[in-house]
Amino acid sequence: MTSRTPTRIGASSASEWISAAAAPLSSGSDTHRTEQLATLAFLAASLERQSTLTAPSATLLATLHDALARVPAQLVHLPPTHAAQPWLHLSSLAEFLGEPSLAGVILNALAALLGEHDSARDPLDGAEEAVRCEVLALCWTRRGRIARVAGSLDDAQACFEEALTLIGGAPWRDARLAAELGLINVAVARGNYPLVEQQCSALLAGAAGFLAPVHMAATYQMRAIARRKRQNWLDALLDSWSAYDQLGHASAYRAELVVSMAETALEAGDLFAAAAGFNNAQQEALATGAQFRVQAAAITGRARTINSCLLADAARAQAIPADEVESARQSLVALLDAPLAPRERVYALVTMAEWHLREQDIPGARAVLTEASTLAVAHSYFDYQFRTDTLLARLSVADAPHASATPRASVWQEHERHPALVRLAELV
Amino acid sequence: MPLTRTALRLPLPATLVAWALPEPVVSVLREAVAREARVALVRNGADAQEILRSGSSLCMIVPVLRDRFDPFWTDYTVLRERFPNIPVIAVAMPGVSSMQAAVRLSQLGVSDLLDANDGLRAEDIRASLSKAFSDATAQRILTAVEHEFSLRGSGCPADLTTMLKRALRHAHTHLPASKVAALMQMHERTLRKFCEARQLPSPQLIAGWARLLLSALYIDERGRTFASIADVLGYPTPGALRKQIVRYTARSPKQLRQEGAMSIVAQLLHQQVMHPDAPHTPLQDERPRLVLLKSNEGVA
Repeated sequence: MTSRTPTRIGASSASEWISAAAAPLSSGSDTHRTEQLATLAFLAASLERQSTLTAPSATLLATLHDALARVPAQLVHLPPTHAAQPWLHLSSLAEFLGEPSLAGVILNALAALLGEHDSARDPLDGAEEAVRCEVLALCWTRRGRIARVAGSLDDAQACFEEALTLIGGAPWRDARLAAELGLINVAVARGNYPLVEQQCSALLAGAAGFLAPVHMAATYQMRAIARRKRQNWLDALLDSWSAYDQLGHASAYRAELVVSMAETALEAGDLFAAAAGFNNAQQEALATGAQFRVQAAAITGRARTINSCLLADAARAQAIPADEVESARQSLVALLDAPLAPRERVYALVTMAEWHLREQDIPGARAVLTEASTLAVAHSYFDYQFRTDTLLARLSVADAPHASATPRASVWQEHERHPALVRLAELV
Repeated sequence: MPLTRTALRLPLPATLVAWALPEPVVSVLREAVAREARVALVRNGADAQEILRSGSSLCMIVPVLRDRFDPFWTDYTVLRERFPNIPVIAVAMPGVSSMQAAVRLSQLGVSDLLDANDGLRAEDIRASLSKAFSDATAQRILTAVEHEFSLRGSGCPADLTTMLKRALRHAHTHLPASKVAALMQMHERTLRKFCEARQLPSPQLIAGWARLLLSALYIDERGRTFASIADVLGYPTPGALRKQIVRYTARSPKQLRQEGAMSIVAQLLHQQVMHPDAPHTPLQDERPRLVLLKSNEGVA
């Protein structure tokens, strides 16, 4: 835990959210998204007024039918007829549409209706109380997820721990799984990879039968990230494919997994598979309406791949068309002007710094690295702090020799390619 | 499953300005508020402006009109610029509304959103109006607080303003720190750190100040008895409110009214925020001073 405090302040009501978001929404070009979000705001406002938890307006819900169908199911244990189900789904949609603050408004209203947790009553007291605690805990796990994505890791951890406290000794259900996965996700964000690997393996061994496909995929994926950090490329790729296969064809999360696999391929030195992966992820993210952060990761990854190609042997560098290099650079520059979540921004900044370093633009590299470092420290991203420190140390070397341009040793040979990499390269 | 919360009977605005709403909607409004508020039906900006200029405790209820060339939009925009703090409830109606229009309307600020596609219910209308009333009350109090801070040469810190604004909207009922944290979309533990880092009073204290500021507003209103103020703020007894007032201000309610309750409370809040170690700042843990007042004694 760190003593850093977040600056994130979400809206306190649907009307406050729409009043604040109206100007950017009306100037945005995606009218469909605007309509969906405004509908969500009306629904959230109606939930805030409820004194008894009832279903959302059927008329408004019908207009969101297609959008809701794209949000992967996350609850497998909560009875489908429970009055909280549609509201939890609507909050997921708000998150999915990139408006976590609106999702938070729905969760707050839902939690207020469910009432504060009464520590005198135990979830084991009765079935009704158990379900109430379960839904309340689900609200806390969602709040935790929102805080984590916003970079408020301490807040996220507090929310997940609150959820676990609420559930107490109750059996494994959606809320406990979401809270455990949430804590692992916080560990990923903090860069505590040994803990991530250990906890994911334990979860897959002990609770796989309780996990929804989307949670199963998340667990595999987090273990893949940990294994990638160990440079255990193939195990990481196999875990990512296991995650990928858990999800349906239309799942918007697939693009995110492909980005991760492409990053693994890039680190493994298979630049061709990496480029194929990033391109595919970008297309799939657009096709499935995945969150902007996935597109951001694909754009950043593509820029990193091209930078790595240019750092590699001259023959490979010459094979890349000049317009592709320029396009990757322009996309990265444009991305840095977009409103990115802190983690995605640090990643894009580090990539930009690497790009500057290759071009021997030392002041440019130093400027973006300083910003990246500040952001990484502010949000306790230890892995990025390590990366920015390493890069800054390289800049400090006298005259910053072209050390960065040391050709990368490619571990990839066409005839040795593992099937996991072949599958990735064929995604084009 | 009893997922319910007790419906609170909160105050409503005295006058509702129903602008460009169809007669059936206005009828439902009238039925919902019965004799607790006056419903003034207006058809254009000039009529609306006349009422807004002359009255207090108002709320505008406007339709979400899809037709952006409707004269309503021009009049409404001009009126909002002139009266930005009047609470507004936007009503989406079948056939005439669109979500794009709701966004356009919200750019000028809304207090609540009502959907009439499945019909309007009286309890929804009342809840919306209570919210609008709370918004307007919060705005009045914040203006007074900011004025007090500026008189002393310092602005009210932005984070404190945000917290107070949100707390004030919910200050008609018991306001634990966990509720303030939820309004800030943070865990209570995080909000405590947030306040510490910004050298603000603790969330619990801020919630207390919000409740006290609201009490001060009512204490300054002529004709209100102390018992009715305690009742409307959800204190179990008038004694509980009195205890709270003494703890924070070291004054009895009567003294507070004589000196100007809002001004004194805002001054003390300023002192607590800007000079937390000053000797006369009341502290959370300070034991309440014994003030001998009869339990049925009003502040008037």
